[in-house]
Amino acid sequence: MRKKLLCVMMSAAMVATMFTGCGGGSDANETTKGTTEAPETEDEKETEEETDKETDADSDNEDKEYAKADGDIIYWSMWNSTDPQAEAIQEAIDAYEEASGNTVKVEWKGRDIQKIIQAQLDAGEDIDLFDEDYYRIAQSYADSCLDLTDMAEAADYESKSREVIVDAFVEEAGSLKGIPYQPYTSGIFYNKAIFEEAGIEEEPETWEEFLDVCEKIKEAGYSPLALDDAYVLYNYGYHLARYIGQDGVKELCTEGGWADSEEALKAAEDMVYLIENEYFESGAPGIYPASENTMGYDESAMIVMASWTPNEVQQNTEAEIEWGMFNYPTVEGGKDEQTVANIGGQALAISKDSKNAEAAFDLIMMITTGEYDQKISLATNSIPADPTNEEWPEILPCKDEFESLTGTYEWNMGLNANSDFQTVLKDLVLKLFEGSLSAEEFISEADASFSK
Amino acid sequence: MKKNKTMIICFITPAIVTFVLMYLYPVIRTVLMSFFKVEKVTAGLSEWSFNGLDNYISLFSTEAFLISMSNLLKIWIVGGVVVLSLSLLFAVILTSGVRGKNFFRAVIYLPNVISAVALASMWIQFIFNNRFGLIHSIGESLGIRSLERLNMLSSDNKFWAMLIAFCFGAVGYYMLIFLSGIERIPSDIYEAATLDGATKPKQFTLITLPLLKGVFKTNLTFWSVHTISFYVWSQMFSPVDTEASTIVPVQYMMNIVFGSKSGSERDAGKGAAIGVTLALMVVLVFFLFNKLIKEEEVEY
Repeated sequence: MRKKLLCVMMSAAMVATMFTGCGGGSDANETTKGTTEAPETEDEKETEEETDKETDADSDNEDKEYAKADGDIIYWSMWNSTDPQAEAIQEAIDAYEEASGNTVKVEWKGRDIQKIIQAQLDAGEDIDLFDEDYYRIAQSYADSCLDLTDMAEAADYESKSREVIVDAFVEEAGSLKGIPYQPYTSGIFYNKAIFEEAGIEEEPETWEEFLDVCEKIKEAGYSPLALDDAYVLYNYGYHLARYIGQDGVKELCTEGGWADSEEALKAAEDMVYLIENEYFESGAPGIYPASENTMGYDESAMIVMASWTPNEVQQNTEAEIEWGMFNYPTVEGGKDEQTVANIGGQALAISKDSKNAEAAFDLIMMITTGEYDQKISLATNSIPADPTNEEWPEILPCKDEFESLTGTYEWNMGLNANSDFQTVLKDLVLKLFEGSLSAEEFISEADASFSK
Repeated sequence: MKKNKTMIICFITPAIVTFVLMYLYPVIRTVLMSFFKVEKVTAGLSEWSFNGLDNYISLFSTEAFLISMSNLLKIWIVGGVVVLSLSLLFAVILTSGVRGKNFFRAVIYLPNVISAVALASMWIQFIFNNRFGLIHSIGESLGIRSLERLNMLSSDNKFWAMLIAFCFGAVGYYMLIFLSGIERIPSDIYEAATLDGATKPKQFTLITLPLLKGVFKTNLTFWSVHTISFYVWSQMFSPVDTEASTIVPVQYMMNIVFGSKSGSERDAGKGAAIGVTLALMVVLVFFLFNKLIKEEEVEY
């Protein structure tokens, strides 16, 4: 009898340990819940309350009525709790909790959220809102997200958002399946001091003017351009899209026809011209971020990249550069204007099964508009999502360029349309920039690879 | 006897239930999924549409996947020869009575306790960087211009740079397994051989190697499993977009199952077909090694 009992107890213990081992996944993640934050001292509380009162007085949301949540609002975040974005978002959450009386439970998942969010949404995990890459939400997760059009209309979101970025998102997603924030724009970022030293007074608008600028910079003793291997497709894609537009690039990648495309060859020849005239710094294409860092060492003057680059170069090299920026130049006979650029960012979305959709939307508005959007922008040196936030981080010189955009490109301007081909094309473009393939060889190899 | 049966059932049931739920179900689902057109990995059965062997046919006619398989084969063969030879060499040296055995063993094993992400960053930024990396600095101080300008991370060299970095981190693990195998061989065999006039190389080829057959088989199987799941290193050496020079099947699978940087199209069915192909490769390799390497009757 005792043996039997022992057996049962041992097997029960075994089962218990097995399930303990399996469970506890969520504990492994960093979780913060508004009401269980580390206790603050009375002084800190008082100071915060005073500041909150002051800011509340100025805030438009002063008399706003917040939707009541049924239990905690659960937010899965793409940031780690130590990221500057997370710190700024946490501030917005604290303010929201205080104003609404709701509590928010945040799971700081970090970038790996990309691999788990779809499965979790499909499995019915209790997630009210989450954030992820803007294009991935629009293209991959839109079916699992709630259409926010009505709520956005009721909240007058139009007046607090940037048309160009919302339109691009809606075009991809079909409807407003998320609220973009921390947007980026792209073009050519440059070191103003080098431009001055080289006697360049006007920012170039056309490719010919751009080549003149490169020549002047070279004569002044600097390398005109930096380029990292991670972004070779981005550079070639930008140039090709100027000739044939993003749809044309997509067609080349999905339907083929490289050998017959004069523009694809011309775009490659233009890139070879830059290489032959030694307009790229000697280590280009360097392994990311080696080449972009040469801007921080005052060796290179320009880079074709997105608006996070100035911050990245500053973080990597501690260089104090006065940055300038202009949109990517037009090419002769090209389809697209200078006011078309690759833009993107992150977006916050609400799960279509959320029972706290309205409360979650209030929280999203708190994060992506007004005071807290401004804070996120300044804390992370990024563009404010709300156009009424006039203050841009000092390091970002692209306000006018961004606000004048009339059209947008996706990441790599259409070269990603066929992921199988893109993998092969990336190597060919890399070889083109390394100088080991001529423009003609590049085109014929691209054509041959596509035909396979 | 009856009591024993109850006991067996008591202890086996939880394991079987867990095995079926946590392992067998996903395996069966993945195998089934590989014969269907499925977009999302979590899609319900109603969203699956049967397409026979199309996923497999399409995979094996996709250049990117074939390149990834050829990269994997190179890692398995070239990396395998380098890693297993070096680890055997180190194991033999460490068991030959060298001083500071424990210290060297710990040093050689150390890369295994460091995350692959940190190791890859170290190699990329501090060794291969052609501005201030170790190779550049050595070339500069010795005045060897070609070494100074050597770009290990160019599209032609990147694969080999990645393989060197990966092998560096892998040697310690296999060395420990060889080490334990060698230490199990009784020392009196070597003493007798020495008295009979056998030299050290002769002892190695005629005693150590034959008695390590079983350990070799274990190491080869581990190496195969290890390389087939190769992923992090490729991701670190091509951080934004995947590149043909470093792509491996698992990376390709991750891209098509979860989408890549630009949120390109997803195909969980094809991803499942890659998973099944890789699993079959492991089974095949295991079967071949079992057939080819017959274990000796004498084993320690």
